[in-house]
Formats: sequence, C-alpha cells, structure tokens
Amino acid sequence: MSQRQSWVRRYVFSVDHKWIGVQYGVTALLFLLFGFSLMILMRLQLGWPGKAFGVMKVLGEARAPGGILLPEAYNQLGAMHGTIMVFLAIVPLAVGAFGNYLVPLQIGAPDMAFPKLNMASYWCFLPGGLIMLASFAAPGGAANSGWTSYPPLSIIATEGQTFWLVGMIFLITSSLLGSVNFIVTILQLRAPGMTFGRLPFFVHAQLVTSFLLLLAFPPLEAAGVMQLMDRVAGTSFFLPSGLVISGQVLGNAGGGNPLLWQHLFWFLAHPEVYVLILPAMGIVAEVIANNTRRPLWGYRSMVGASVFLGFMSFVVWAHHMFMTGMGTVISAFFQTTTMIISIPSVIILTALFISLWGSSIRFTTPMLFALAFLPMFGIGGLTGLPLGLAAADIHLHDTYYVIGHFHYVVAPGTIFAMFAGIYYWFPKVTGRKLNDTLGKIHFWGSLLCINGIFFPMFYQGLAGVSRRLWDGGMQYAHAKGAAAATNPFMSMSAVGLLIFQLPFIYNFFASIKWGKLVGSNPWDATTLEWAAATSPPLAHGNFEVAPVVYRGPYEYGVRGPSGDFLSQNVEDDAAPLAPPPSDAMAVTA
Amino acid sequence: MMKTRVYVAVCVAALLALPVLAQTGTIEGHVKLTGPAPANARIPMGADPNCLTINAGKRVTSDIVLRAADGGLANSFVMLKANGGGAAPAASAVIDQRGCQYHPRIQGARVGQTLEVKNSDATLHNIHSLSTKGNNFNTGQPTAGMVFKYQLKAAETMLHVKCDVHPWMSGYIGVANSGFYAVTDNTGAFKISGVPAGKYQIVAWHEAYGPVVQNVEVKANGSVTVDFAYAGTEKPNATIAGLHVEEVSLPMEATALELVDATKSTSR
Repeated sequence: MSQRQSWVRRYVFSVDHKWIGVQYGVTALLFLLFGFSLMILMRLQLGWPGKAFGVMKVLGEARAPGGILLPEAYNQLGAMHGTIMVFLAIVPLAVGAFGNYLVPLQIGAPDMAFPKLNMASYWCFLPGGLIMLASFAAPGGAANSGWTSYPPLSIIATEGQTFWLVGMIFLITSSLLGSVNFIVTILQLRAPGMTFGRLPFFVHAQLVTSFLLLLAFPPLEAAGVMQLMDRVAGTSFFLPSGLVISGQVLGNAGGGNPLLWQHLFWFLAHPEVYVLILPAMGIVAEVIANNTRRPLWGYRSMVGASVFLGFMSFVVWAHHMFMTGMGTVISAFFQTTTMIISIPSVIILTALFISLWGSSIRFTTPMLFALAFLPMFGIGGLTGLPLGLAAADIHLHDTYYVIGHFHYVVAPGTIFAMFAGIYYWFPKVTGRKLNDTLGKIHFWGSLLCINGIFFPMFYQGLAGVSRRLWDGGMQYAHAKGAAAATNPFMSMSAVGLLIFQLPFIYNFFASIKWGKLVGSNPWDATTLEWAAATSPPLAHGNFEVAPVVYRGPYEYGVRGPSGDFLSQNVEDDAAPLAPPPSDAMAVTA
Repeated sequence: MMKTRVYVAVCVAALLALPVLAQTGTIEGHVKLTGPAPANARIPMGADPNCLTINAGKRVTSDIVLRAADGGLANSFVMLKANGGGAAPAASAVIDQRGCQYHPRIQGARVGQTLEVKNSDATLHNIHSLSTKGNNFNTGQPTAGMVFKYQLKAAETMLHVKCDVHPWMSGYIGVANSGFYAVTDNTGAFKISGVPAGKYQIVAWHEAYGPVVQNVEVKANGSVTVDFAYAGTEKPNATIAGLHVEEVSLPMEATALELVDATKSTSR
C-alpha cells in the first residue's frame, strides 16, 4: 500500500476499514443527534399540544407559525425521526461503524476483502443521508407519510416523499455493498487458527446481520423504485383502480395494490429489526464476557440461536399486517412463526444473563450499559408477544403500545449497547479512555429518563391512544384521559434525556484530546482487536505480526502472561514466569 | 364580449352622439326555489369532542338549502360572465371557522384577492382547497386565533374548500375575473352595480342545484331585473361551465326593465 497518500485519498476517500468505520461512526452519531432533536420537538408538541415554543421556530414559519407546530409538520417530524434513526443512525453505527472497524481486527485480517467496495458503501450512505435531510427544504416539506411510506398516501404526498425514495435507494445500495463485503471477509480472511467456533460472538452476529441485509433489502429497493415511478412517471403499481381522493378520481390510478407495498416493505423491515438488534447483542456479549472475567455461557447456543433467528426473520413479516384483512389461515401461520422466533431471542438473552452468574463483575461504564441492555431488551421483547398474537393485536395495532415496544428494543436496547460499544472501544480507536464519572452520569440519567419516556406508552396504548397523532391523542374522547395523564411527564423525561446526553457529547470530544492515555489492551480483553497496536495506523495493515489463533474468544479466569486471561493469539506455552501483577485484577475503570 | 360592447356603443353613439362607455347600470333580482325545500341534515359532531363542547345545547344543521317563505333562496352565487369592475380589492375575503362550520358558507372573491382563513374554534381545523385551477392549499390550524392567508391565483367557479378533520364542513368561494358578482341574502335577493352597458350572460349557482344561465342586457344608468328559479329537482354541479357570448340580439325571457328599490342590500 502506498505510504504517501494525499489527504483526500487518506481521509475522505479512504479504503482503510478503520477510517471508514470512523467515518461511518461520526456521520451516524451526527444523524443520531439530528433524529434525537426531531424527537424532542415532537415530544414538546405531544406534551403540550398547540403551545407555542420558541425552539419550534427553527422549523420555519410554514411549519410552525408563531412557534405553534402545524399537524402536517408533526407528520414530517414523525416520518423523518423514524427513517433517520433506523436507516441513517443505528444501522450505519452498528454495522457500518462497529462492524467495519472491528470485524477485520477481530478475525485477524489486514482489512476487509474489498476495500474499495467498502469506500463505495460509505459514499453511497452519505449522499443518501444528505438527500433525506435535503427533503426538509423541499416545497411542502420533508416526507410525511410515516417511515413506512404506505401508498396511496405516500404517492399523493408532497415532494419530500420523492427525496425520501431517492435517499432510500442510495441507502439500500450502501447496505448491499457493505453486506457482500462483510460476508466474504468473514468467510475468507480469518487468520490461521480462527475457526468458526473461535470467532467472537460479535463476528457471528455481524455475519448473520449481513446475510439479512443482503437477502432482505433487494425487495425494498425494487419497491422503492416502483413507488418512485408511481410518483413521478404515472405508473400505478400501488394505486388501486377507482381510487378517489377528496372527491376526485385519481387519473393515473388503476390495477395496483397498496398491500403490495406493505408486503415488500415489511419483507425487509422485519429482518431489518434483527439487523438493529444482532450487532447490539454482539457488543453486549463482548462487554459482558470481558467485565465478568468469565467465558460466555452457552456460546454455541447463542451462535445457533442467531443463525436460526436469521432464518426465521424472513417468515414473520406479516405480523405487521394483521389488520389488513388477511384470512385466519395465513394469520395463524404468521402468529406461529412469530411465537417461534421469540425463542432464539430468549436463548441469547438467557445465555447472557446466566453469564453473569457467579462472576466478579467489574462495573465499568460499558458494563453498566451492557447490563441495562438485558432487562430493557427483555421488556421490549416480552411486550412484542401480544403484538404477535392477532387477537391482542386488534386492540394494540397502531397504538402507543407498539411505539413503546419497539422503542424499548431499540432505544434502551440497541442504543445502550451502542453506548457500551463506544465506551468499550474508544480506547482502541483513539488510545484514550472516556471519562468514567461523566460516563456514569450519562448512564444513570439516560436509564432513568428513557424509562420515563417509554414505559407509560404501554399504558397509553392499552387505553387506546393511537400512534401518529399530532396532539398525542387529545382529540379523541376515549384517549384524552390517558394522554393528558402521561404525555407531559413523558415529554419532561425526554428533555431530561437530552440533558443527560450532554455529558456524553462533551466527554466524547474532550477525551479525544485530553482523555487518559492507555495501552493497547486497557480492559485486559482476549479478542484479537486488543492484540493490535493502539489506534492501529491507517493503511499499514492492522497487526505488526500477522496473528495466529490458538484458542476461543473468551479465555477469562485462567492464568495468562498478562493477567487472568489468555488472548486468542498468545501461544499456550507462554506461561507466566511470575504471578500476574496485582493491578491486573483491579477495576480498571 | 368586447366586440358586443363596441357594437352597442357605436350604435348608441350614432343614435345619441354621446359616448356611453362611461355609463353603467345595475342588475338586480331574486333567486327562488319554487318547490319545497328539503330538510337540512343535522350534523352529528360527536367525532370531535371539542366541536360538541363549542356547540353545546345547539342543534346544528348543514345549512345547504335556506329557503325563505316566498321561495327566496339564500347563498346563491350570482356572477356576470365578464371582465372589469376595477382592480382586486385590497381587503381580504374572510372565511371564519366558527362553531365547526364555515362562515360564510358561500362567498365571492376576485382573482388576486387575498383569502383569509381564520380559526375561531379551540380545535384543529384543516382548510383544504379542492382546486382544479391552481388555487391549491391544504394546511392545519391547530389553535384558536390562527390566520392563514392565501392569494387567489386563478378564476375558479366554484372553489370548494373542506376540512379534513370535520367531514361536514364544506364551503365554496366563487373566484371571479370581474367585480360583478354577488351572493343572495336570506330573502334570495342580489344586486350587482356598476355594470357597463351591454349584453352579458349571467349565471346563478347554488350548492344543491348547480348553475342556471340567463342573458341580460344592461342599459346605461338603468337597472335590469333578472330572476332565477330552481324547481328543486336539479342536480348539483360545482362548476359553472364556460359559455360563449353570442353577438346577435338574444331572446330575453321574462325580463322587464324596471327600477328596483336600490336600498335593498344584495350582497352578504
């Protein structure tokens, strides 16, 4: 590899997986912040509907005259918050950032199998994301038909929806390019001795995730193009014959079916939710093994469960469509598969819980987030069960119960796992640790506030408060009571959550410059990325010496040359000459 | 149109040797419903608890057909098919959303005039125009006191507005090219003043019965009466279709040139 690269080649159009991972990470975190801000505006409206807020004026006079959010603007916020969080923040962070950075390191490879494809993947993601953001400036505002973009509404919607579709095409292409890269890399570039049974669980999770992306995204890309054609080229893939809108017959409508879009969308979007959770489980597994100083319990079961989960995720999608008038036979099929798919999730969660049993837990900041992930994901998963049963889903579909359910899995679930990963691997990327006190403030405040936002949603949903209502349910007599009782409290929790992210944002930037300097393995971890140099230099390969793998990924609790663990690439006969130094067991928080 | 006026002007000028284009006349008349009025449906406002509260104790009906004892039909939009009548007024045409209804239900406006939509109710209203001529707007007004202003772009008879939140709310604005329009009052009477002398087509339109066209000749400094009658069996038509003006002398049915009491108010 050339030693002298121009600045543009090295930092803008980099082909080094570590820098691409950093690019993905920073971009995704910025999108996460943007999506979070949209949520704050939404929650202000929900807590105090129709009230004028000074901060609402950032949306402009057309969306918020005098600071009062218009209902059509609320729809824009809702649709864009969902889209940005799922497609621009979480997936790029979980797969593009953590996956890209760590997978080659953890398997002992010098880079991804296709470095240029990796770069292409990022450079499809960024324009796609910017097009999505640009939709806010379109006449009529951003996309406003939900993150699900259901026709016919999305086809007659304002111009922003076209931006959304074009953006989605870029984003899906980015994921497809990336997934091919991950699969080939993991299959082909493992270091000698790195058998499948010795891969860290994180890599298994990323492998299954990549298969999900590869196989599930193409139908949505096709559907996105079809909907785009319906909007701009007068086709009628999703517009039924005789469609009448506001008393006027739609001229180009005929022969299409709105349900077709729903099937194509959910065929991706269900595997997509496993794309959101699997890398998170991978991160949590790594952090738990490291901070319990024990091997993971049930590693093989976890791997098998994630593969089974991947397969099952393709046959459950219509549980998002129970209310579309499907017959009882097909409904029974999807209910059955949905109940079955809960099993592998439970296996993984149980294995992680049991991994804590009898261990000496180091309550480092990443471990706090990883520990919180377990019950939070538990609540999220359990509340999914009534939704997967059609009889209960009649009452709960499209209510706040659904919003509470999926936010529990994604927000105190995946996002907490992302934070765990950031605190855990920040020293690898930068050579410095994030401040622990600020980390703990960030953790406890976030945990408290996030439950304050999402737990009341289950009550709201059961009381019949529908989702996607600009005033949070106040216009409906049956929902008013529940909405009025809970919305202001939830919105105040949201503002609290915002305040508790500030220590993290400060910590992140300040620690890059002034964080405590650490060596290459500050957590005394066993996996291969810690054997590489601190902040591995770009474009130089990852390891000073190409690693050879001698053992599994979680050899903790054994006497090793550096402490109570054996790195994967350390030979067996490298026994310690002396007992490990006493501070190897100390809490290195 | 212009040709007719020039023709008439030349004739009269030849007769009277005086310029007559500066002289204008008045058109007055009534729109009547000869048959019995159908009952106006009661509006169940239960879908919006705020509307119920605002209208507490009242029985609200959808006031489509308002027929006086003598048959006078209110809320008929009467318009001359002409241009002219000065510039668009600076004052706005106002629609007020009050009591979960549009007030006024029917009104006239000029191309280029501002339409001002007010929300006087403490509930969400959504003013949504169903325009085929480019007068498109669709915006929410969540709180009382909000005002939305829209400059009318193109002539449209009639511009239908509705509320997507409250399906019973329906209103019409006749966006005219000229200033020669009026809406009948609750006796069914209308008056259009300042019409340059000449022959015109005049059309009356009602929400339930559609348009009816007549021909009228306005004499300088005179007043002509035009009466319209609906049997009650006509079907509604939201569009006043374009009709061309004939130049030859037209059959004038049931017209009588008579001076009508100008103190009667003719516009809403």
